[in-house]
Amino acid sequence: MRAAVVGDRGKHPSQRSRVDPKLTPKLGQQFGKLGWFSPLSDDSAGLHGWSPSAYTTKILAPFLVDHFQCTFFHERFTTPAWCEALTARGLQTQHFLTAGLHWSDFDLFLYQLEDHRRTAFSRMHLGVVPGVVWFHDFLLTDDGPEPILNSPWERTVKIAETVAAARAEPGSIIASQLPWAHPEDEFTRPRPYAVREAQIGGLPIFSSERDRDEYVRLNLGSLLGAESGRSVERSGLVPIPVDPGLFDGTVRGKGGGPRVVAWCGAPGMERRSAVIAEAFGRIAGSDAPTVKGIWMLTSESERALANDMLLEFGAQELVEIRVGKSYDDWIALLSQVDLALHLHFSAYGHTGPALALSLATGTPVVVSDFGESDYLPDGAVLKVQPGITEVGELFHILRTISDLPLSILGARARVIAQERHHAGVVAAQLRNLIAQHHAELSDMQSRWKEVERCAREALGQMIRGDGRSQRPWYEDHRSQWLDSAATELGWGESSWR
Amino acid sequence: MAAILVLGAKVPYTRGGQEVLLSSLVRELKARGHLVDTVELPFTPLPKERLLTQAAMWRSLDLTEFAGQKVDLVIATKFPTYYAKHRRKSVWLVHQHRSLYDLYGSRYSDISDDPRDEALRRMLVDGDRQVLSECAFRSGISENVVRRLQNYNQLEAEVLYPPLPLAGKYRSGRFEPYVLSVGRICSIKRVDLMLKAMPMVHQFVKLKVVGTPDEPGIMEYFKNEIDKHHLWERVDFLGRVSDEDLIELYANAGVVYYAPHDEDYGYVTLEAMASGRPVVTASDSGGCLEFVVHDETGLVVAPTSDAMGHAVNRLVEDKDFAARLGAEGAKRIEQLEMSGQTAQEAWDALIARLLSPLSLVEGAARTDRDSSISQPSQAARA
Repeated sequence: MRAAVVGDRGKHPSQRSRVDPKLTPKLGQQFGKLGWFSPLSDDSAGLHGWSPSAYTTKILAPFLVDHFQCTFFHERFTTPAWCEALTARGLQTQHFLTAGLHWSDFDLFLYQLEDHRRTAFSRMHLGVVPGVVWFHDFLLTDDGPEPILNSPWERTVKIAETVAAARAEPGSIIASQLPWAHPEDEFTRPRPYAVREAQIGGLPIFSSERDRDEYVRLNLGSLLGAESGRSVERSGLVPIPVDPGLFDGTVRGKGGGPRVVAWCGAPGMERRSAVIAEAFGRIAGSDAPTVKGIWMLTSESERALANDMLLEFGAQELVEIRVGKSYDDWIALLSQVDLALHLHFSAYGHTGPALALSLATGTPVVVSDFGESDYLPDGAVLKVQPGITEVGELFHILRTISDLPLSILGARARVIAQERHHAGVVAAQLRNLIAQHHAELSDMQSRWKEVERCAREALGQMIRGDGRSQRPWYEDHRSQWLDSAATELGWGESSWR
Repeated sequence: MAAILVLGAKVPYTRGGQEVLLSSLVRELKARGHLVDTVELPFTPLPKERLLTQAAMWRSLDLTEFAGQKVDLVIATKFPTYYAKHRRKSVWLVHQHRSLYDLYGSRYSDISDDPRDEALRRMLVDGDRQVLSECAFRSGISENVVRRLQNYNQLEAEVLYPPLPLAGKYRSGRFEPYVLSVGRICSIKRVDLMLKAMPMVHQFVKLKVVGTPDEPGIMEYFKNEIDKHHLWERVDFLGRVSDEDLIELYANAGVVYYAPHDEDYGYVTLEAMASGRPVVTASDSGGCLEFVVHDETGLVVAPTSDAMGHAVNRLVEDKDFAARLGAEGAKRIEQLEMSGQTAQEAWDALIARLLSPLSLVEGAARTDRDSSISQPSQAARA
């Protein structure tokens, strides 16, 4: 049985392009006006504490305002206190429905997506105005959130491609000749679920290397590559950021006494809850256990199921259940633990910010030797193989925890986090990626204006009856006064021509 | 006395809170000696691009004068009636076209991410802001409606709660073992949540549904659910009922269920409370939550069938608890009628606000007259 792989098989982050964290993240003048779509965490309202997007936004915000003139678009009408603290540095927050009305005031929109309905508004608006799409745990997910209903996104992509092809002659396209969806058409949910978001987005970026590789492998393409056969080269990797303050604490794994092992997340197969419970059950059945567990749930509603699971495997005496409201609670817990478990096993599973936080605090971690975690260097983390040996491997780690080089693992974990997840580095990476594609993104923005012009014209045609109905609306006696009312409201024919 | 037109958008063959509100308002205005009539145009939300033409139709109406009678004031109620143009326009907003606003992106909205839909949405949102800004007086029927106006259109408005249409007639009777659901039958009213909860509700409890369907295919869906769960003997669809029958149904209900998605106001909630009945509603039911307080006047639970079923069982199992919630609800209704004022006094106050543009003009006219009277004397002094 292989208890853990400690070697140099993995890919070291230094092999990838990176920015020295000692570099000041401020890279000179602001890049432009950025509309940033994300749910916003709000401690006082108990909102979005476990959202990767909301966490990313909160941590990155102080660095973003150095690079961009930022407006955060979210789904509420109140602004969290932490955002208000940044208003002096130019940060604004608005409800997302205002974004479309003034979209041309922005240089760029960025949408963060995750496998949860809380980012449905970002997914919806992405179809309205394309932009950079930052995938956290959404791409290729097997059991994704609700589809965006009746989205004719494939037609929209074709329309955008047609407009791109005719870019030399703006205004030359006849709206009625574009492949608009028929009002009676019904659109089915795409598979994998994030194909719509990948293709209709401008520049896809990923917080997981695994996802980016899959994106390239599947050759999904994006609007940005529309005129050149959907080049998948136009994509990027930008990891989840962590607060640089986390790098200041002591590396874990030096303490004596009973060792504390912690993990977080809802009970479920993806997070290997039963595997962990069974391993602790075996420890409980052994002589003089020297390890105890803390399981941090993300909601009180998960407690009953978690209790049942621990009872089933006889681990209830060794494992304490706590409920965390946010990633901040996980960070606070990490100060008490010697080892963090981030097991994950599903076709396209994600560990989210919790793993990055464990690494940043210098907590030794155990991960699954699979999927996203497989990209972590072997010398810095302990890996267990999912499958029939999984419980045994984890049990062995827990039983021999006192013999493990925890402080060395903790120090290595922190190095990885500093190189990959330092918020200043991540902000600079994001800024550089956008700068690299700036010309193309601007071009896409301006082409989208032509798409919108055509849409308005097509809408006018539908209303006049020549787009869908045999009953022309403006051809009867009412036409004159209705036309006059429409003109007064700014909807006159000239406005959709 | 003023000549007033109340503006309504009527969906033919349906009747809901909007119709009750309109007829109540006209009745009360007339009772106060005003010359009142209603202007209604048929409204259909489908096809969606026709929303623009329907708004333009309202905009095109000339409501200045009819048969020599000048119109002093128009009172708009819901989309698209407020597109009407008049020099003195009040709005008592029932709701805007919610698919463009709070329902956008949800399963209750037919506005997709098609660029043409987005163009349509922007035109109507801009239009709404423009024409609602023209109103000399703006109000909404609940906090929820006013909040939407502030949030989405950056327009301030007053809250004017509509008094109950049958105020003074509601009464409390026996607690009979049935759950009463009242309202239009459509997906956003979520009668299906209660229907699907019935298998877990005690067998002796029935569900009585008052209201007519106004969504294609919804009754077939309900029928399927009834067949699936063998509820043939436990669910009654009563259709439209008379006022007397409705009062009777409220009076004897064990529980009143009303849990629409983000309701504007919800007469049903208040009627149930006035009848001393406990209300089961959902945590996302909007205007209902302005009146139902969990464990005080009803139960506020998650918008799931499971939660609804458990809530109903809790009330039918403990009649004393149900009666206590009902009694507290009735007390709240008394308080709501403006600190012990009668419903008529509530109407007086409400109508005074809706008609306030008239007094402004009268005041301005008086000022004009006063200044024109004073001018000669000034001239004389000169």
